[in-house]
Amino acid sequence: MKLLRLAACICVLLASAPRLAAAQAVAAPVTTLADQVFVSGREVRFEHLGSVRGEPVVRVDDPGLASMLEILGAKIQFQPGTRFVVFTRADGTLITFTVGSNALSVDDSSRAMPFAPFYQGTQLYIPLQPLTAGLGLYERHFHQAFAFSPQIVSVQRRVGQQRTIVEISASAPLTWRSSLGGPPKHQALVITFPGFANAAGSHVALGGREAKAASLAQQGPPGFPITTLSIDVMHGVKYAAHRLGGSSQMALVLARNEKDLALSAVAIAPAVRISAMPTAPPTREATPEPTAVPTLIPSPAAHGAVATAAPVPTAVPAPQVSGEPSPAPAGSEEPGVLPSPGPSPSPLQKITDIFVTDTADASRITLAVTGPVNFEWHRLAPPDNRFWIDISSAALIGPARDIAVKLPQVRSVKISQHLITPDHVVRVIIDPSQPVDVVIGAIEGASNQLGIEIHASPPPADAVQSGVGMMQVPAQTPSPAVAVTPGPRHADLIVIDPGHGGNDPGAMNQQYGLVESHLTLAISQKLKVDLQRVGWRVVLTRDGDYEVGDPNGDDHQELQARCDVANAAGARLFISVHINSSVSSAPSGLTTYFWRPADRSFAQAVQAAAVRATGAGDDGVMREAFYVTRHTVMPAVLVENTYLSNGHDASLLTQSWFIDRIAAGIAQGVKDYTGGPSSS
Amino acid sequence: MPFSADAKLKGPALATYALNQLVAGPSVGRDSLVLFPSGTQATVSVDGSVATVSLSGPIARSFQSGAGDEAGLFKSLTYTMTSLPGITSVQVLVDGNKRAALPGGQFELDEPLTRDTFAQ
Repeated sequence: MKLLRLAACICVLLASAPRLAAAQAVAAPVTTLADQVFVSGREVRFEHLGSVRGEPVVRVDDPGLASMLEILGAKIQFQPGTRFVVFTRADGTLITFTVGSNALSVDDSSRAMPFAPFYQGTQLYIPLQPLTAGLGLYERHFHQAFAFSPQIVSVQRRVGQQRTIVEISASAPLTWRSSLGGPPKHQALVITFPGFANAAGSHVALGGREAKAASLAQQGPPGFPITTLSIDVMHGVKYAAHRLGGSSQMALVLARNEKDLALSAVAIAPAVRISAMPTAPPTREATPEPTAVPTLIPSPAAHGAVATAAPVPTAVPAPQVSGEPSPAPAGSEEPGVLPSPGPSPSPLQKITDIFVTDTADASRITLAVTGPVNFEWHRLAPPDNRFWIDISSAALIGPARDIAVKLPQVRSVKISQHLITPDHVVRVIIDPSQPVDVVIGAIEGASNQLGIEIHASPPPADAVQSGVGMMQVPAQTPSPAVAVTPGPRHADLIVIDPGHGGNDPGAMNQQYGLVESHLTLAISQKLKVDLQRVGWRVVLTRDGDYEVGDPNGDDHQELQARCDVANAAGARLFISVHINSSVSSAPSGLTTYFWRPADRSFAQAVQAAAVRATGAGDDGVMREAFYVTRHTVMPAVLVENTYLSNGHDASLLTQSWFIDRIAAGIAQGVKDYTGGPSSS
Repeated sequence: MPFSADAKLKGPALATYALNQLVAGPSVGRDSLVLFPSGTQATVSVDGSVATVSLSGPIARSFQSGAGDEAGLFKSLTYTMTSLPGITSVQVLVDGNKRAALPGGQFELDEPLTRDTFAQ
């Protein structure tokens, strides 16, 4: 069963047009700020610190910003002409600014900023305080001076067999001093973190045989805080402090025996965050760290076409165990061994969602991406059989995690942000128990989904060992008659489409500062939670303030991209969330639109429940030729949730309880219409 | 939308007159809403039973109202044009080009609109 379009798989190199962000004009000029800036107690000299409407702003190329990031162990990635400015914190947290958008993305959450990054001439400025908040900094503003300090973000315990482990995470590389003292029966282990503020609470229950509890306190002047962690340890307990893989983490090991103080890779995973997803069987713990993939020298024939026979590499170097990220596969640095992944640097794309479709003999992992991505893949020779895919210029939203697939031949699939410099590379590692066939490519009809399909069958005998590929960019103006191959229909899957976004804010209400694209996202995110709580799987067409399709594409491409998400995913229902607006201030209330006569009852169910939940006016259900209700292949509605142009409706839309009730009402309508995710 | 045309007008000239009256909105009274944003320019050509209407001006850059106004706008346009002799459908162009929708809009414009498009 080949669910994917093979054409996009191997050695397909297409030129991708660079996406140039339109320069954003800012109404107010930038006034120069002469304030001093201190980071971790050190003065950092900014050359282009300014202020707009009282908010400090900084130019992205300011050497002071570079110095500040260096102190914090953080990195910036920005290519002039692209829309994203991405900061990577020492702990891997991604902070993404988007030109023209006042939504700041911090990992997978979104925060509102007072204004969007903007160009002054050719220079890009970003608001400073959203950045420092995203970087996890404690901030104090004095007369003519800013002081920023990194913070202790979390203190967590892990209780082992013969020891207690305390893991400490901070927003910058940690430095500490430790001492164990006090009378034998009341010994205290004191760790001080100079220059760090405390954001991890004041008390941590440890509950082990080595120590009962720990307390945290912040002292020192606001410009140079010192956080102290005090642990009351039991008599006879020894300790060791270890720096973990990411320099912004450390582990304290408390044990009675010297031999238990060593930190081995088996006992404690140096991952920044542990996924809540189902993990691999315990036997997998003995294998190397996922980032330590063996270096593969790709076969010289690997750049041939798919039909070209390639000899299996005879020698595969032994896996390297290392806390450091492994280098990029050797082949990518050897000209002539692998074709270069693309003719020009690609804009950074985000992987916003991951979902799995299992059939009896195949599992498909679908990565929702914000745009086409390049990738390369490598297959290890038996008996290792591992297969990995490196997706270039891609940022993984959310932590590294395991992806659960049902195919019995697959022991585990892991996805992680493998590299952040010189490029953002997301790595997917498939660890099968026997050779499996893997097909990678764009999912037909979806410009924003990369499919990785694992087949139970072994690869063809002449299969190549590595290759590069690119998601095929759809034609700029695809014919409306373009055939969309729907994925298998899933009875428990709903696609929610937050209307507008990115360069199309939708309607606005200046008096209340309301923007349709922000409201539709807020409602959709709440609706997702409400539906998940009762067992639905939910995919959002966008999970931030961006376009679903190509930002430079036309409306056809943008509206079709939203339909493609639902069609390719095989959703049972499609709900497009909008806020109405009129040239008149008189109209108010809710309207639900449908197109196919068969969808009228779905619209009626949503309309009735949403009106009931919100108490808003009932503007009825209407049949209108809205694009997304015509080009999705499942029951589809477009809900216009009250009017931004009506004073009463708009004042309600400023209230979070009202947003919650709209979401709850639509969720109830889904329940009334379907009976629930397990009914069909 | 009722309008009074010069009795001598016919064919494309009548279509142009009707379209301009619709886009401009009523000259007296404020009972009806003007759904076309001010500054909208519209031209029409007639080929057989199809009136091709090209919209330009602010409406072609960004449609600011919601779905209700948008549907009402195209319904009034379609009903006005198809009330003229021999015209049964309207192909809407945006700045002279066929588009899926107005920028920022939702209403599908790929195909000619007929009165059936608006059947409830």
